Amino acid sequence: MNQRQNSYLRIFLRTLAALLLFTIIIINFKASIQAYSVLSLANTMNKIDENLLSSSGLIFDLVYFLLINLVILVTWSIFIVISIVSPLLKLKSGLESDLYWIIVVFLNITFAVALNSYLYPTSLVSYLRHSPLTEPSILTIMAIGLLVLFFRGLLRLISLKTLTVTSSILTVFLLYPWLTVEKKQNNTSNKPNIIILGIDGLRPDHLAYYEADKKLAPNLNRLLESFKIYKYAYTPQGRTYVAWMSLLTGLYPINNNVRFNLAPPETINKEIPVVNILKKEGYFTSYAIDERRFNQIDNSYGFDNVVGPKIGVADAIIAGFGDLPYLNILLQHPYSSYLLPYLYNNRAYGKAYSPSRFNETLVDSLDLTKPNFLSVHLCQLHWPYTSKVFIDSSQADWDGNYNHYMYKQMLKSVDTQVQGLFYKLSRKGLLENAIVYIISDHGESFNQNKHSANLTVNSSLPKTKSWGHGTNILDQQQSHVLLAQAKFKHNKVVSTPNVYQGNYSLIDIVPSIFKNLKVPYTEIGHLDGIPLPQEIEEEDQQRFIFVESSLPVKSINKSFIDKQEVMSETASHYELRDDGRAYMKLESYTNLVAKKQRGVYFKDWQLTMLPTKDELVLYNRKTNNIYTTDTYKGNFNWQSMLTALCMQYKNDFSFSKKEACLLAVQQYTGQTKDRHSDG
Amino acid sequence: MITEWLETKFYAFILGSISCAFIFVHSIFMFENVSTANQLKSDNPSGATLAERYLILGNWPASKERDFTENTYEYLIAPKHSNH
Repeated sequence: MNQRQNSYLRIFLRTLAALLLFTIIIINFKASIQAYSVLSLANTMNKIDENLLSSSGLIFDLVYFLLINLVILVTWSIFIVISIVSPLLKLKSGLESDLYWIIVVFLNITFAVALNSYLYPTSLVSYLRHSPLTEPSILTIMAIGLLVLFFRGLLRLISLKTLTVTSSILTVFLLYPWLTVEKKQNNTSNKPNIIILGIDGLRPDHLAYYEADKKLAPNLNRLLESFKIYKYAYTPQGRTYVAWMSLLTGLYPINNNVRFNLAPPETINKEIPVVNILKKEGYFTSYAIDERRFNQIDNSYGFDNVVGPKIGVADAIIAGFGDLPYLNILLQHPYSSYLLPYLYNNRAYGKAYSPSRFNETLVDSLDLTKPNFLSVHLCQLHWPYTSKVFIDSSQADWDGNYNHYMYKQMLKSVDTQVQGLFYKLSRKGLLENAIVYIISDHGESFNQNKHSANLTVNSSLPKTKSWGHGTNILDQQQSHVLLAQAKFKHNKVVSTPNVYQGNYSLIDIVPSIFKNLKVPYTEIGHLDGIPLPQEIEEEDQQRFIFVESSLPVKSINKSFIDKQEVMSETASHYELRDDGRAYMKLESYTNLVAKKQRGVYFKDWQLTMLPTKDELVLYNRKTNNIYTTDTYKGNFNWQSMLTALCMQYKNDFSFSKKEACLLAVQQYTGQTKDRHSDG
Repeated sequence: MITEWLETKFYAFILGSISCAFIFVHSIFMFENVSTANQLKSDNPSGATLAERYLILGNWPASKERDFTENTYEYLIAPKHSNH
């Protein structure tokens, strides 16, 4: 190696060391302003189970992430070294050369931090966010300066011809994801696109059809004015994965055996009939979700196309470490979906999540030569309500309830995202012939007094106001969801809007799809749901709708969810497997099913069986009164609800031991035998 | 020769000053952020204000136009909505 190459090698190593030092300084800076460091989380996990971090999948993901960091720093170092090959000044001494090198390194670092501060103000390392350096004009000047230095250096090393050819190829390669011709769907079949749009945690009482302020979600409200709305719709369970599996199978959790988020895969049947049948009908099937921590639906569930960040425990760890300027900047480019799969289009990494980029990725992934079955779930409304830019807050709306306040602010953001998504879908021709469902997977409780039920007897009845979702089915805000449907032709809604007053469930969507497409029932098998009525006269008011709770976690039934507390409380129920994903332990799965709350809705009533109480709880949603069945003196016949509840769960763990159910089941069985013997 | 020596020193001085200016700018803004974060901290581990809680959750409460670390008393988290 000659002297010059030696010199460049030394400068490269020196530059790499400087950038590593910068990374360490940034990490320490973040730690000094953060309450919890990522290492403390990992430490907590270590204390709970010494084998928790031994998954090869997790180790691979973390090593891959570190490797990508190193590759980025090496590439950046090469860029800087080339930039000093042809200095702007005549450098006469070694000292001058060294100082020039330091300036170029600092210029690069300053540009990276300033650009990060401009793009992602909520990033912890955007400390230049309010400096003039984040002005677009200053950033442009810095960028041009850096490129000039780089190309000057490159011209000294290679010929102009080589430089031109290489630059052109590289430019095309880098710009390729954006160099697409706008195409429209060319679906020659008459089959409609079927779109199920889920909005995580969206409460109906924050929408105009429940008389909420229209300004909370103006685009959604405008859209829903033309939809059929099923006013009293419930989720089978207030957890994203469980709700979606019930939706996609048309079965209650007791029947499809998906009872918790992160359920062990050996307990789940991943064959989803609606996906298989629609594929046979020529559909391109897609599942898209912008957060993966609690929803594991992927290609193994039969979808042709899955959009969203990678699934794995590494998500939480990498999101903690990932707040570095050069990583955040890289997320602007679609190729970072391969380099940083846990951070790209990940709502859980809110500081760098772009709703419009997610929409674009999703719509661009669809097959425009076929009818599409698209299930998409948007999670901006999920705790902790973080985003790329801090909320546009109004102090007048502040009532001291952080969660609810932030929820309302993020509702505006997801509302904009929905509008953007519909716009993109219509531009691509996907609303020329489509059936669209808009749903929420669960609600969200904010421990508000106005949602407390009126206690009619004594205060030993369980609380009806709480925090979060999936934890308390007596809290109506958790299980009550949006369920709306419309038919689109030539980008316009052609179905008649209506508001239906009966009780419905997310499990009714798949039967509706099959009915719309006239799929014979022989192909489908048993479904718990029924097709959603299209006319008011079709409503069945005699229907029972079942709801159950999820894992009872005290640490999430709070205003502030402390990650370490949650991990301490729940980690013993989960295990990390070699695929790098967390799953509930099988023994925990069985035990925790016994701790579920189980309820049934019938007309305006809810009957609930609680694991910790022998009394049955009766609630009326019109009067907001709550009773126990022992003390209820009204005329309503709740016994039919008890019978329905008991028959639904008669084979469930520990449920059949309840005395009240034994009697109800006996009576029901007796009545059924009598009917059969009467012929 | 003396002129050359002076010229070299002058250039070194300028380049050194520019380097120091970079360090100064970064240090000042980093210090300001750390100082603001420390001012936001309260005895409440879950955060006493909107800005503090947002920071505890791992993000800086700022948009391009505004930094919500000012006037934090306007956004106090009500005790009934706090874990503590």
